[in-house]
Amino acid sequence: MRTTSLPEKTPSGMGPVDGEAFVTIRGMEVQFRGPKGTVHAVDGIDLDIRKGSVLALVGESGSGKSTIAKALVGLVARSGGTVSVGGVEQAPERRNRPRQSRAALQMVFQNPVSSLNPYQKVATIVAEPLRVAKVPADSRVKRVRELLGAVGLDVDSILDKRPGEISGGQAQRVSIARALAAAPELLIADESVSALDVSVQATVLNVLRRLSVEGGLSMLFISHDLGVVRTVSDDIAVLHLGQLCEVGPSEAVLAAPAHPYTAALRAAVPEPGIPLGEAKHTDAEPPSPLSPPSGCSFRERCLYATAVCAELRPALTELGGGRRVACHHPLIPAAHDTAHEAHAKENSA
Amino acid sequence: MPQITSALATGTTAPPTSPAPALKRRSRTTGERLQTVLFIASLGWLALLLVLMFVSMATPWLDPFQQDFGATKQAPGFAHPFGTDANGRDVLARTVAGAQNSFTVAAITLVVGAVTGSVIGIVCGYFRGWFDSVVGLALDTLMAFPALMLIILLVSFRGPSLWTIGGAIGLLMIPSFARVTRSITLSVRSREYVQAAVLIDTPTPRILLTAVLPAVAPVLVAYAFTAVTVGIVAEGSMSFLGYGLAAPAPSWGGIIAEGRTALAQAPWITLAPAATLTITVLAINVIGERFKEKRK
Amino acid sequence: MSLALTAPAIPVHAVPAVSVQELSLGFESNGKMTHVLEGVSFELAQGECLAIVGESGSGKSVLGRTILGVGSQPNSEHSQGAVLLSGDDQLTASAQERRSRAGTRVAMIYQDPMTSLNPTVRIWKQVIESISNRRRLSRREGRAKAVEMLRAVGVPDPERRIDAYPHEFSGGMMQRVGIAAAIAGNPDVLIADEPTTALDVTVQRKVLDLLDRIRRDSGMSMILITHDLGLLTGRADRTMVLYAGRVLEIGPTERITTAPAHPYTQRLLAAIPNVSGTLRRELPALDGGLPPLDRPRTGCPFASRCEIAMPQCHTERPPAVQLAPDHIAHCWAAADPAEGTAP
Repeated sequence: MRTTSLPEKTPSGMGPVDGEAFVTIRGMEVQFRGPKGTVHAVDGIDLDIRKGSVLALVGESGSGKSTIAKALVGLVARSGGTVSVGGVEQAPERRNRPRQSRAALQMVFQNPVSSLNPYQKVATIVAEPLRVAKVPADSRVKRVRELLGAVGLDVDSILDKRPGEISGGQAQRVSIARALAAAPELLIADESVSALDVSVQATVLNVLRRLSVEGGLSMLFISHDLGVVRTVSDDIAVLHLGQLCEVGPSEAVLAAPAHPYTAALRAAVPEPGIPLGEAKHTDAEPPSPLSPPSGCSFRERCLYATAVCAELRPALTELGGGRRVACHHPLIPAAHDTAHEAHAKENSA
Repeated sequence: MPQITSALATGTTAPPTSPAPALKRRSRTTGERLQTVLFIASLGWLALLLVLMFVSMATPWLDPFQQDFGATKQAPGFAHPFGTDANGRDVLARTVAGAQNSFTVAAITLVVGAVTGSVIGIVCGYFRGWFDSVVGLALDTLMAFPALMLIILLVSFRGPSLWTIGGAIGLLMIPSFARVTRSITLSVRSREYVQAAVLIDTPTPRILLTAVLPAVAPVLVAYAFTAVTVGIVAEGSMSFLGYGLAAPAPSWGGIIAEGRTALAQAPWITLAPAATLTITVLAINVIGERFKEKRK
Repeated sequence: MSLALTAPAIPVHAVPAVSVQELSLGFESNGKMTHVLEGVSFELAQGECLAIVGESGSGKSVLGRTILGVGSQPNSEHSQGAVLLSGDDQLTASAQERRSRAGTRVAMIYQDPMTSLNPTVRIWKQVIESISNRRRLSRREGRAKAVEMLRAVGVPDPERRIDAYPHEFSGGMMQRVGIAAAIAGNPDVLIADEPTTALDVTVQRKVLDLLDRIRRDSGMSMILITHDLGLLTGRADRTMVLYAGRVLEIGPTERITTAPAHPYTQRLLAAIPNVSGTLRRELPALDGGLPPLDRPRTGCPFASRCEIAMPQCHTERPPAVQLAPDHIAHCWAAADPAEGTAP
């Protein structure tokens, strides 16, 4: 059994206690101007990430999930909206943010090997954030060993290897160790297990889950894979063409989707030994981000769309239990309805 | 279930088989042997030139200026392996001395062209913005300028020295080096490990040193081999036209030009330096190719 | 529960569409040999769909390309064994013969249609390429055939779309075009190499349903190469599990995906994060990695990572154990139920 020493819980000089919103995104918009027109990659998103918990962003291509991550971190400048981390508002571009804010948000990318400098050894790669923070050399060595152990790697054998000499699963864990070296408050995992084999994926997911549960690290987990999302996340936000479809605790949302798109995604997931049921979406082609449909972006493939769906973009409404949905015909009636029903039941009992 | 006629499907446990027979490696092909021979020959040739150059500089033998009017235009023989020219100077000695000058010019070309061009290319590629656009325009202008005329102008103004010629040719090479290094820098810049370095606030010079430079270096070295050969041929051409080193300083192009008038009677005066130049350029190319192959 | 198939009844002694016999393949570079496939044997009956499942390093893509017969590097490739297409060996055939078979007797659908289609050539020319390579088609004939093929794969408005270029299509549509190009030459065997990996999950299902329909309507045999065990149910008749170039298990898809015999298959299934069923926060991970590929394997390639490995697993190649009429596992534990945890 390997002994794992997890990174110390970072002093949360920035504010809220566990369970409260740590990262707040309101009305985020990101637009890209191209030769074919303007693409609204992110079109008015409200999100909260609670301290010490994992929020998953789920969507297919064109959903804007990766763009949200990049805008959060400041690698891409947002066109509108606000982002607060620990109560402190963040400038759109990374270079305009104070150093402490920059270090607080770290990211792990999709491709394990190209995320690491092929010309450096693992020890140097993981030590880099410590070097930037001017940590003295002997403390650096000790810390690097701690971090590599915390992500479950065999420290002595991996220190001197180069990225080309290690496997995808090992490389991804090195990336996580490097991100942890910067002592972040929020870790963003952008499709971090999508390029890994299933058997290796499990190891990395276990590491991420442990970091959150035992280490108290807040996490934003971006993926298209519902199974992975279910295992690793506490809350889930479903995105379609830059718009939020629904938000809520992962188990509740996946067990009983409120938005037709969530239901369609859920029904489309292939699982071993289970024959696929009927598709929960029409045969229409997915819309292109360059020409989004009016009103609700999912209406062309939705089984329940009506005229109002084309005219009016649905707003996020409360469903109770921490769930919200943006739909004119949600599969679960809105909170005020259930409250009304409960009240009526009480009175008639 | 569809009927499966496979032999594997019927019958019971097959007896355990020994490990599959090992696949054999094939022997080296003729092409590979030839390449190795060429490579060794090229190394040998350049080594020989270096030795001769050293001898010429350090010892009284192989003096390019020594004139022997009793033995003008002598055919190649034991005393003068490349023969003598109209002034009785040993053509071999002159050719070797010409090599010194050619290599010096090539080195200057590299310093001016490769180093300057690479720095410009890396800076433009990494930082982009207005600097990139302005410099790009300047380089395009330089490339549009007729090369020959530029060198002639510069040499006419400043006089024919090694530095002027080397500098002029190097200047003309800056755009191509800048272009190559810029495109590599652009592709490296978009890689995730550079984005990761930005995220952890690695200072930019360190990113350039540890991420960009190692990616640029191999291509730069490979391209440098080509640049050297271009420099040598360019110098030869300039000297041939009379815009190179002034007589009696020996240079390959100059000697070739001198031998032009005597081609009928003493062809070796022109042929010896011409052949030497050609073989030297070929040798450098072969070594450069090998370097590129080994890098893959 | 047996799956109802509507494929035409196949005579017992029909020649298998594909028969691979003790195939071993290695690539040489810089004096080092990488063993990619070792002793692979299996058969594909006419009209059936076989899934080849494996992770990275399993050799599944190389196997697909070898059956196809084109796209290999003859100088560095060394092979042994036989790869028979309806009785004709691909390994001993000349490059010209293999080229003529590709498109007409066996065809491939690639993972990324974006890179397998030529961006500078109009769609209709690429769709009919396997036919136009063999005989002259007039422009009218070619275009009509292209329209027919696009209609068959469900591309809307085919008369207009045949003049489009690849980049004008979405991912799912492009894959349909790729399928049209593959079946245009009416091949006997269709190889689909990770056909839906690059597609969104809502589009994935449509493409797989299309392949299924084509196979059943035309009687084509199909090989589905994938790493995703979830795609197989209801689509592949049999499944073969490949690991480090060796076949570990082969049998009816239903058994392989619900009650596999080989420890690797069992671990693989257990590691898949499930959307239905009980929530598991900690997944059973697989330690270690592939055995070194630069030397021929002794024993079972999975032995170094197997929980129930016995001493002989490391030294002696496991036998092919017949567990059911068409379910075979290459495993010592399956051979001797007393020692291992075989079913």
